[in-house]
Amino acid sequence: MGTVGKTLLAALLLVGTAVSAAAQRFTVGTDGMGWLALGTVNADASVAVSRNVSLHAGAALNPWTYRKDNPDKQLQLRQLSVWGGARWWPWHVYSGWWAGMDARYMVYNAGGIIKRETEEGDAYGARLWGGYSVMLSEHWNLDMGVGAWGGWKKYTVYSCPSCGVTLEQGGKVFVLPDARVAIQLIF
Amino acid sequence: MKACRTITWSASVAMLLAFLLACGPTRKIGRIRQQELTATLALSRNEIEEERKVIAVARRDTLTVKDDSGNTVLIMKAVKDEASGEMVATDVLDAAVITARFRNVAERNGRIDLRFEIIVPALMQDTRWQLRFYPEMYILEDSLALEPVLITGSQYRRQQLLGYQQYEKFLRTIITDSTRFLDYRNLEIFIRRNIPELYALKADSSFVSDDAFRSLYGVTEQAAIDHYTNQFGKSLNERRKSRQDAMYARYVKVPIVTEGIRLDTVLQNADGDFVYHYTQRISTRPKLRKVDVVLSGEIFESDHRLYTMDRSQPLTFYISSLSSFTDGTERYLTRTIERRAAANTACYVDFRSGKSEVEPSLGHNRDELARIRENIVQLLSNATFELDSIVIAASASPEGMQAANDALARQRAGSVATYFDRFIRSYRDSVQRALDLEARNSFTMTVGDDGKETMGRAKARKAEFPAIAFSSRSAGENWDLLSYLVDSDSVLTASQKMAYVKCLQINDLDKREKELSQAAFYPRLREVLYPRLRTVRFDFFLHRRGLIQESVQTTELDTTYMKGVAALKDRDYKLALTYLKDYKDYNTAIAYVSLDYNASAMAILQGLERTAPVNYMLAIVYARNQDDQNAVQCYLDACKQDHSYVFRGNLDPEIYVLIQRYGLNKDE
Repeated sequence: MGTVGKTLLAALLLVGTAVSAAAQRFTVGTDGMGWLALGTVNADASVAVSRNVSLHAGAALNPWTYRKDNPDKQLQLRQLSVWGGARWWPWHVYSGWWAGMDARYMVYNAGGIIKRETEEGDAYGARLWGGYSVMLSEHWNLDMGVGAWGGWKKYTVYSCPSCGVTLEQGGKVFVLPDARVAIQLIF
Repeated sequence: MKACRTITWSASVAMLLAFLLACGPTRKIGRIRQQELTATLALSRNEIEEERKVIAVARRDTLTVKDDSGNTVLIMKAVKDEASGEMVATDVLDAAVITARFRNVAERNGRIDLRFEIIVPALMQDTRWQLRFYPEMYILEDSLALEPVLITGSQYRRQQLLGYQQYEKFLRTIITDSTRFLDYRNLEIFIRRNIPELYALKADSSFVSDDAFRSLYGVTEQAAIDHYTNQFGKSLNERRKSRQDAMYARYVKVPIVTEGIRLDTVLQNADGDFVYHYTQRISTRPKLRKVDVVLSGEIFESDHRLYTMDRSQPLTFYISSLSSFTDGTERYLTRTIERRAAANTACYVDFRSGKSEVEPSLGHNRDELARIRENIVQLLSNATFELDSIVIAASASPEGMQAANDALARQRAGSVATYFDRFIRSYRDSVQRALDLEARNSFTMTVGDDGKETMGRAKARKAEFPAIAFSSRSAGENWDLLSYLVDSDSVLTASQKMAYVKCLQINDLDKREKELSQAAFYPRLREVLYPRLRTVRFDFFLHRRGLIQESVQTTELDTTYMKGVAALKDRDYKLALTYLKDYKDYNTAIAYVSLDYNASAMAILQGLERTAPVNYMLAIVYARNQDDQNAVQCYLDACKQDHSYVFRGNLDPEIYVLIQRYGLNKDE
C-alpha cells in the first residue's frame, strides 16, 4: 500500500469517528477489487437523494509499473478512471439490494500480465450493475456488486509493455465484466 | 445372459417372499370370514367362587336346625356323588360351572354388578391387527353402549406410535416464537442509522407511537420491523400451523384413546384364547327386571376395517331385588273431627270519653274495623265451617266509677255488635245483588215435555247465609290486662311496680283506682296504659258444615307412610328410609336390609311376628352376619310357611350360597 492509500484510509477513519447522531446520507468508500488489481488506488463517494436513490461518483488511479528494470518481465495495469452515476435501492439507501448505472471514462495502459502484448487507449462507456450492501455496523457497510461496463475505445496494441512496436491501432466497441467488494463509511 | 438369469431368479424369490408375507393376515382374515368367527360372551365362571370368598369366613361344617315339628335335624355340607348321583356330605366344594346364557343377579344397595367374560379365539388375534369389541346393554327400552375393549397387536401399536413420532417431528418444525423471524441485528443498525432519535430511547420503557419518529425519508419503525422480518419464513410457518390438524389425521390414522374405553391391551403374540373379565355396575331403576348384554366387534388393520363381527347372542341377567318384598298394604290414620270450633280476635276500638258510638274516623278505628270485617267475610265464605254466632265483649279502663264503667262497656259492646250486624246484612245484600246480576246476564236452554226448546233467564240463586246471632256484654274494667301492661312496662321503676301491686290488694275497684290516682306514676297509667284497656274482644262460634254429631272418628290414608312404600318399590331406599324410619315396621326393615344396615334391620325383624317374609329377611340378615345356623333355620321356616321361598332363595346370593353349601331344598 502506498502513501496515498494510507493517507486516504486515515482520513476515512477520522471522518468515521467525527460523525454526529443525525440521520446518515453520505458515504465514502474504497473498492478492494481495485486494490487487488495491481494496487489501483480508488475512492468513491455518494449522497442519498431520496429513500431509494443515491448519487455516486468515484475515481481510480494506478500509476505503477512493475519490474521496470527487466523489460522481459515488465507488467503494468496503469489507468486513470472517473465515473459518476446513480443507484436505486428497493428498500432503503445503503441497505440491502441495489441496481446502478454509471458513466465512465478511462485512460489506460495495460500489458505483460497474461501475454506480452500491451494495449493503451481511452475508453468511454457506461456501466450497468447491481449488488447488495451488508450493514456491518452503525457506520460501516460492505458494498458488493457485479455487472459490466462497455462502450467505445480508441486503442493501440504494442508487442510488449515497454517497446514501441505497434501491432494494431483503431477504435472499437468493448464490453468488460466488473465487480466490486468495497468497504464504505456511512455518515 | 447368465447374469440376467440370476437377476430374474432373485427377483422372483423376493416377490414370492413379499407375497407370502403379505398373504399371512389376508389368508387369516379369509378363514375368519369363512368361519364367521366371533368373540363370545360368557358368564363369569368364577363369580360363584367370588361370592363364596366374600362370605367364606370360619363356619361350621354341620348345622343343627329344628324342623316344624320341633325335631332337631342335622344339615351338612353336601355335593353330588359322581358315581351314585346322590348328594353326600363333604368338606370339599367344587366350583359350579355355568354354561347357561342367563343368570340371576341380586340388586344390593340400589346397584347391580353385571359380570361377564369376553372370550377372543386365538385365530382372531394378530400382531398387525386391532380388535375392537363393543358390549351393549339393553335395559327396559334403552340400549346403552358400554365401554369398548380394545386388543391391539404389538405391530399395530408400533405403527400407531410411529405415526405419533412423525407428527411430533412435524410439530417440531413449527416455530412458536414469532420473534425468531425478525433480523434484530440489521433492524438495530438500520434504526441507529436512520431513526437515531428513536434509537436514543432504546432503554426507555415509555410507550412511543409508531408515527412519532420517522427516518429522513419517512420510514417508520414498524416499516423497518416489517422489512427485517423474514416474511417468507413466517408465512411458511403459518401454513404449517394451519395444517396441524390435517397432518395429525395423515400421520396419526388411529389415535391411541385412553378415555371412554375399558381396556386397551397390547398383544405380543397370539397363543391361545384371550379372556377379559368385564364387570359393569349399574344403578337400579324402577321396573328393572332384566338386562341383556350383546357383543359386537371389528378387526382393524391401520385405519381400515377388515372384518365386522356378527352381534353375539344376548347374555341375559335377571335382576332380583329385595324391594319385591315390600308390603304395599295401605296404612290409615284415625282422626277425630269435632263439630264445633271457635275462633277469637281482639281489636282496639277507640271511643270518645264517656261515649259508646262507633266512630270510624276516630284514632285507628278505620284500620281496626276493616280488619274485623275481613275476618268476618273470611268466616262467612269458609267452605268447611259455618259461622253461628259472634260474642262481643268490651272492656273499660278503671278511671271513674266501676258501675258507670260497666254500663259504658256494655253500651260500647252493643254498639259494636250493631255495627257489625249491619255490616253482615249489607254484605249479604251485596252478594245477593251480584248473584242476581249474574243470573240476569246468563240464559238457559230448557227442553220442554213436548220436545220444544225454550230459552229463558237463569233463575237467581239465593245467597245462603244463616242468621248470625250477636250477643254483646261488658267485660268490666280490664284489671288483668293492666297488671300485665304494668309488669312489662319499661318506664315504670321496680318500686313503682311494687306500689301498683300493693294497690291491687284493695278489693273495692273504685277505691283501688282512687288510691292509684294518688301515685306519682298515675299520669303514665292514665295516658299510656289506660287507652289500651278499652278493647273489644270478638269470639266467633262455628260448626262444621253438614255434621250433626258432636264428633266423628275418621280414617285417612297415611300419606307419609305410603310415600315411603312407593319409594321402596321404586328402589330408592334412602328416600324410603326418611319416610319409614319412625314406623319401625316390616317395610322399614326391608329398607334397612336393602341398604345393608343389618343391625337396624335385625332389631326390627326380631320384634315382628314370624311370617314367611319376616323369616326370609331374617335369614338374609343372619347370613350376612355369618350366622349360618340361624340363617338356615329362618330360611327353612320361611319355605315351610310359603313354598315360593324355595325358588326365591336361588335369587338372593346370601341364601343361594346357603342352599349350595348345605344342599338345601334337594327334595324339590
